[in-house]
Amino acid sequence: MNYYPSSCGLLAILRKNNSEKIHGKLVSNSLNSIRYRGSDKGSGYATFNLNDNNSYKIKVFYNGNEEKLNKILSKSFDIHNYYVENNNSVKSYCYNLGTIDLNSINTVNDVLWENKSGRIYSSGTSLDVFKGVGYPDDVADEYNINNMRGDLWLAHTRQPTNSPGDEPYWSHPFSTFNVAIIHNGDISSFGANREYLKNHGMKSFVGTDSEVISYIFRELLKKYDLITTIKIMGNKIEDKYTKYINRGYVLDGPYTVVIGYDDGNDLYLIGLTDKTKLRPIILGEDQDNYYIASEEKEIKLINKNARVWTMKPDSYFIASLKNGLINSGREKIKYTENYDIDNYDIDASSIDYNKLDNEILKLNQGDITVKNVLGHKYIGIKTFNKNYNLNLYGNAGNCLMNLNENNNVTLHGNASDDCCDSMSGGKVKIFGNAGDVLGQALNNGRIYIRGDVGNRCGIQMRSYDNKPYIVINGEFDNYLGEYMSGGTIIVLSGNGHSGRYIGSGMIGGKIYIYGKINSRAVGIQPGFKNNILKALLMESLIDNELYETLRNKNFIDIIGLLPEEAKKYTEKFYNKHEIPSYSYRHLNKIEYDELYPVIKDFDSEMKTNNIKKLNNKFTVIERMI
Amino acid sequence: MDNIVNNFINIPLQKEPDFWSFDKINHIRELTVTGNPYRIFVKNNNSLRILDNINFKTYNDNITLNTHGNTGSDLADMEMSVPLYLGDMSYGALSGNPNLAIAKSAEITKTMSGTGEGGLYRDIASYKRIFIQWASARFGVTAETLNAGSGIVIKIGQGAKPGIGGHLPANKVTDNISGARKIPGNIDAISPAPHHDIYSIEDLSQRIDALKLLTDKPVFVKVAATNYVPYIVTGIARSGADGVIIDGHGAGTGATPVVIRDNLGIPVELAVASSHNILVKENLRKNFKIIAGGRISNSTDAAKLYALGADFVSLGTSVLIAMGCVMVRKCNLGYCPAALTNKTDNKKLFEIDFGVNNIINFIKGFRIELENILDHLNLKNITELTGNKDLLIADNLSKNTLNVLGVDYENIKNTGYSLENFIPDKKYLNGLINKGEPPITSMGSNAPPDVIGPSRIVDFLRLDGAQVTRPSIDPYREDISLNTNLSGGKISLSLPVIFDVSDSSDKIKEGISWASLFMNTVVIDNKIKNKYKNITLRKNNNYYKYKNYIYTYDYSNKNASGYVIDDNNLLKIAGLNKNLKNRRENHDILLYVHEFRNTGDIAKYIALGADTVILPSKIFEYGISNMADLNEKALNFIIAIKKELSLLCGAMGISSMQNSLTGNVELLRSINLDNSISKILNLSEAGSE
Repeated sequence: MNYYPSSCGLLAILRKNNSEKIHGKLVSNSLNSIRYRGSDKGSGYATFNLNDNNSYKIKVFYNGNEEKLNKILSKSFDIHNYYVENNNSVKSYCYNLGTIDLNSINTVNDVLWENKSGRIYSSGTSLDVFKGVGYPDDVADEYNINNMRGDLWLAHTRQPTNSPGDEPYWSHPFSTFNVAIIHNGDISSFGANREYLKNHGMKSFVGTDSEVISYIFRELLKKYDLITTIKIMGNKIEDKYTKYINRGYVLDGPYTVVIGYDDGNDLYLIGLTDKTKLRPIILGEDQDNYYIASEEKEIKLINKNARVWTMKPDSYFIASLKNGLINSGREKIKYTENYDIDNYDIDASSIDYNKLDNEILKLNQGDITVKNVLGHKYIGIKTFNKNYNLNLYGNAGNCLMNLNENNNVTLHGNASDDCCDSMSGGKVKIFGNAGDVLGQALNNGRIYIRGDVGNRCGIQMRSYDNKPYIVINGEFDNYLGEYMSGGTIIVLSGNGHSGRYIGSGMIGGKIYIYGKINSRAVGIQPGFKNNILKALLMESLIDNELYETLRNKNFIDIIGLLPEEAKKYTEKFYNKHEIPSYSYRHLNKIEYDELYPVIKDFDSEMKTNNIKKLNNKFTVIERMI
Repeated sequence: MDNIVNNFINIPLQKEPDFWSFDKINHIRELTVTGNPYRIFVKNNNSLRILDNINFKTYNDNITLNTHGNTGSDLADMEMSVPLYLGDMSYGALSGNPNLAIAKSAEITKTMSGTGEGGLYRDIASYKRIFIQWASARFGVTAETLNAGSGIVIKIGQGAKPGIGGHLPANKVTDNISGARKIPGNIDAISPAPHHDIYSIEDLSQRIDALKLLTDKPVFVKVAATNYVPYIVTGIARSGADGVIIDGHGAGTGATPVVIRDNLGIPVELAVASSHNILVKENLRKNFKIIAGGRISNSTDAAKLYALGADFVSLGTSVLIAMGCVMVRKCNLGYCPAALTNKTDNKKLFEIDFGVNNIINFIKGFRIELENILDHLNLKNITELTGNKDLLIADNLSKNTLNVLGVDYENIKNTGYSLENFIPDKKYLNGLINKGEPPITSMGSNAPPDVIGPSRIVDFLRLDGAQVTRPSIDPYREDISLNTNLSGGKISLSLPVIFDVSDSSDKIKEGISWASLFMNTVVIDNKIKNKYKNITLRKNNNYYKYKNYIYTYDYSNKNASGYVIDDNNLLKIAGLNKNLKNRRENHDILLYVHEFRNTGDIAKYIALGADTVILPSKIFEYGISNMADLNEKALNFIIAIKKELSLLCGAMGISSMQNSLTGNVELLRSINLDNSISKILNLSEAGSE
C-alpha cells in the first residue's frame, strides 16, 4: 500500500546575543526531517536580520502585468528599485522602498486581491519571507535558503486543511510589517476574529486563520505592549475592560503559533499555545540558540545535547536576541539526561521513523537493546504480543507501545504523545518525561515514569478483571485521570505543582497524589460560587454563619457542608461526574497494602526512593457518589 | 415462548411529521416480506429534503425481475454484490442478537457491516464482512479485535451528533455491556467527544499509519457531514485512508441530545456532491471510496447519492426497519417494542433468524430495484453511476444549493422563503424545566428546514461540528466558558442569556430572578426589586436602563452601551455590524428572541453577530405545567440552557463562547436558503468550498 501521511510542522531558531548567525541549511535540513508532517502544498521560511540602516523592503506575489504592478505600488510607495525574485507562475517581486506605512500595505493589498491577482506577503526592515508551493527542500532550493544566514528563522511545512494549496499565497509564514508568523492549528474563532478585524478596517483577506493571527498581533501592538498583546490573544487577561474591548481578538481552537517580531530594537521569538495544548510544541535551548519545534527530533538533529522541555498548556514562550529568555513556557525547566549505551543490537539512527519494529522482528532474540532512537513512531505496534524485553535509548516518537500486551519496555529518554494507548498488559518504564495522553484506556499492566507527564495522563483508564497502575515520579499537566473508570494512578512528586481539572468525569478507579493539592484543581467547578451562595442565603437554604464560612472556600469544599435542601440545587452542577470527590489523608490499611508492593517495585525499577512516602498523607481522588 | 420477537408489529399512527413516514416504512416491509422489488424512481413531491428535489432525468417506474444491470463492486479488497454498507450500530445500542443478525446477513448477501464502538457480541468475530471501529472510548479495542474484520473504521463523528461522543444511557449499561466495555455498570457511558490521539489531520495520518502497520487492513474514516466537509475529506484522502464514511444530518442514533441532533450537521447529498468534486479536482478520487449515510430510505435515494458521487451507501435505520423497527424513538430508554434496542438483560429477545431472513430479503429487493434503475438509465454497471451527475435534474432549489450540487436544474427557488407558523416545542421546554438537563432522544432528526417546515431564518441554518482538523471539546467533562462581558466589562454573565420578566406575574418574576442570581446572569424588568437590584436592568418603553447602561433602538446614539434587535427583524444585524465599524468594540448587540425553538437558536443568533440574547419569560411560562417550585424550575431552565450551550460550543470546538462565536458566520451554513438572504447575512451554503 502506497500512501503519504502528511500535515503541519514548524521550526524556529533564535540565536543568542554572542552567537553566530544561523545557517539556512541547518534550518531547511531540520525542517525536512519532518517532511511527513507537511505536503507538497506549501513550505516557507522567514529570516530576520536586525539592522539599523532603515532599508525598507516588501515582497509581492503577482500573476499579472509587471507594469501594472509597478503602477499600483508607486501610488503608495517610494520605490527605489525592484527585481523578480522567483519566476514561478505566480511571480515573486522584491521592492526596496524609501519608507513603509502600515495603512499603505493594507490599501495596496486590497487592490491587488480584488481579482486575486497578487498580495504583499513580506514587509519590514529586517524581515524576509520566502514561501512557495512544494516540500521544504524544494522551496529552500527555489530561494537559495541554504546559503543564507539569519539572527532568527521561522520555517514551516504545510498540509492545507481549510484553504486551497495550489498557489503560494496560502503558504506560511504570514507577515505584516516586521512580523512573521507560522502556525499549526485550526482556529475555531477565525470567523469571529475576521469580523472584528473588518470592523477595525481590514478589508481583504487571502482567507486563512493563520493570516488573521498576524493581523491581530499587529493590531494589538498599536495599543499594547508585547506581553499584553500575547495575553489578549491567549485569553489570559484579567482586566475586564481590556478583556471586553478586545473580545474579538482572542484565539480559540487547537493552535501552536510561533511569531518572529522586530520591535525596532530587538528581535523576539514567541511561542503561544491554546489552553489545553492540542498541537505539539517543544521548546529547546543550547549554548548558541533557542528553539521551538513540532518534534523533539528537529532540535536534537541540530544539537544532540540541546536541552528540551514541553510548553505548559495555556502558556507562552518569549526569548529575545538581546535579553535572552523572557518567559520559558514552564515555571521550572528541568534537565533530562541524555542516555547512551555501548552495547546494542540495533542502531536506529538510519532507520525510517515508522520501521523500527521491522528491525526488532528480524532479530531472533527476546532481549533487545536499541540505541539512537529519535522520534521513531509506533514502536511496538507490530510486537504487541511478542513478550520482548526491549531497552530503548533515546527519545521515542508518538504512539510508543500502543496496544501492548506483554512486552517489558524500558525507555532511557523521553516519550512523546499517545504512549501506551489501549495497553492491556506488560510493563513500560520511562526514565525521562512522557508527553500528552499517556496510558489512555490502559486496562492492564504497569506504566512507570521517572520524570513528568503531560496533559491527560491515564484518561479512560479502566479495569474489569485486572488492575492497571500508572506511577509518576514527577509532575503532571491538566486533566489527569479524566473519564477514568478503573485502575490506579499514583503521583509521588509531592511538591504541590499540578495541572488542573484532575479526575474530571471520573466514574471509577483511584488517583493518589502525594501531599496536598489545591482543591480548585479537582474536576470542573463552576466559577460563580458567590452568586450561588447569595441565592441560597436569600432563600434561607443556608444561614448567615454558614454563608460566611463558605464564602472563601472552593466549590468542591462547599458541597459537603451544605444542608440537604441546598444540595438539591448545587448538585445540578456535578450529576454528569464533572467533579470527583477528594480527601487529604493517610492511606488506610487496605490502600497501604495495595500500594506497598507497587511502589517497592517502582523504586527498584526506577532507582528512586519513595516507599517511605506511603506513611505520609496523600490527596486521594475518586468518583463522587 | 412469548418473549421471542419474530414478527412485525403494527406501525403506530404518526402524530408529527417524520422523515420515516408510513410509506417509507411500508416500502421496506414490502421488500422484506417478498424479497422482490417494489417501487423505483420514487418521487416525494412535497418533501423539503434537498435529495427529494433532485430526480433522474429518466423516469420509468416499470419493474421486472428480468434485469441486466450489474450492481457488483468491491470494498476492502472484497467482492460486493451491491454497494451497501450496514452501518455502525454498536452492541449496547442494539441488544446483541440484532448485531449478530446484521453481521450474518452481510456475510450471506455479500455486503459489508460495521460493528460500531461497543466491542463484539458473541461470535460476531467469526464473520469476515465486518469493519471494526477505533472509536474515542476504545470500547472493546484490542489488537485481536482490530484484526478480526476486513477493515477498520476510525470513528471521528456521526451525523446524529457531530462533535460529541457516543452515549449509552445508564439503564442500558447492564452487566453484559459492563463486561464488554470494561466499565462500571448502571452509569452513563459517554465516550469522549474527541479522539484524544487525533487532534489534527497529521494525528489522523499517524493513527492510520499505526493501524495499517498493526493489521495490514484498509482503514476508513467516519465523519459527520459538517461545514468544512470538502476540505476534511481531502485531508482524509491525503492522510492515507482508503475511504471516508460521510454521515449526514438526520442519520439515526441510539441516544443523542436533541439540541445537537437538530442544529448541527448538513445534508449528506450536499456533502457527497462537494466532496466528490474536490477529490476529483485534487486528483485524489482514484482508489478512494466514499460511503454516504443518513436518511437513505430506498434504492432511489441510493441511486441519486451514487450519481452525486458516492461509491457506497450506508444503511442503518432502514436495516432496523427491515428487522421490525416502527420508529417509536425510544432506543435511549431501553424498552424497544421490537426488541432491537432494548436492554441486553431484557427478557424480550429478538430472534436472529427472523432478522437474517428479513435483511436478506430486503437487500435482495433493494438490489433488484437498483438493477431496474440501471436498466432504465442504460447503464451496465453500478460503478458507472458514481459521480454521473449528468443523469440528474434538480428543481426548486436555491442557487447556492445548486452550485454545491453541480447538477442541471429547471427552476431556481427565488420566491422568498415560505414560512410556516411558528409553534414552540412544549415537550422540549418541559424537558429542560423539569430535569435541568439537555433532553436526550434517539433516531434521526426531523428538524427544519428539511422535514418540518421552516418558520424563521434561523431554521435554515446549521452550526458546525468539529471533525478531524480540530477536535471537539468534551462538553460534560472539560472547561468551556460561556462567560459574557457586556457594557464595557461592567456586566459579566455566566451565559449569554438575559430574561425579560416584565410581562410576567410576580411569582414567575421571583423564580426567574432568583435563578438568574444563582446562575450569575441578569433580568430585565420595568420595576426594580430591592433584593434583585444588582441583577436587574430597568425597562422603560423602548429603553432599558441600568446604571450607565442604556439599550436603545437608535443606533446613532454613541452613549448607548448596546443595541437591541428583534428576531423578526434579523436582517438588520448585518447592517448594524457594518455601520458600527470600529465603534463595535464599545457596544453590545442584544437579540430579542420572541420565537424560541431550542437553545440552538441562541448559538445561531450569536454566530450572526449578537453578544447575547434576551428571552421573554413567556417562553418559560409556556413550558411549565404548574406553578409549584418555580425557583427550581427556573434554575433548571437556565442551567439546562447553559449545558446545551456547552454542548453546542464543545461540538464546534469552541472553548470561549463570546470571544469565538460572536459574528462567526464561518460556523454557520445555510440549507437551501434564498440567495438574497444568505448574501445579506454573509452565509455560505452547506457543502460549499
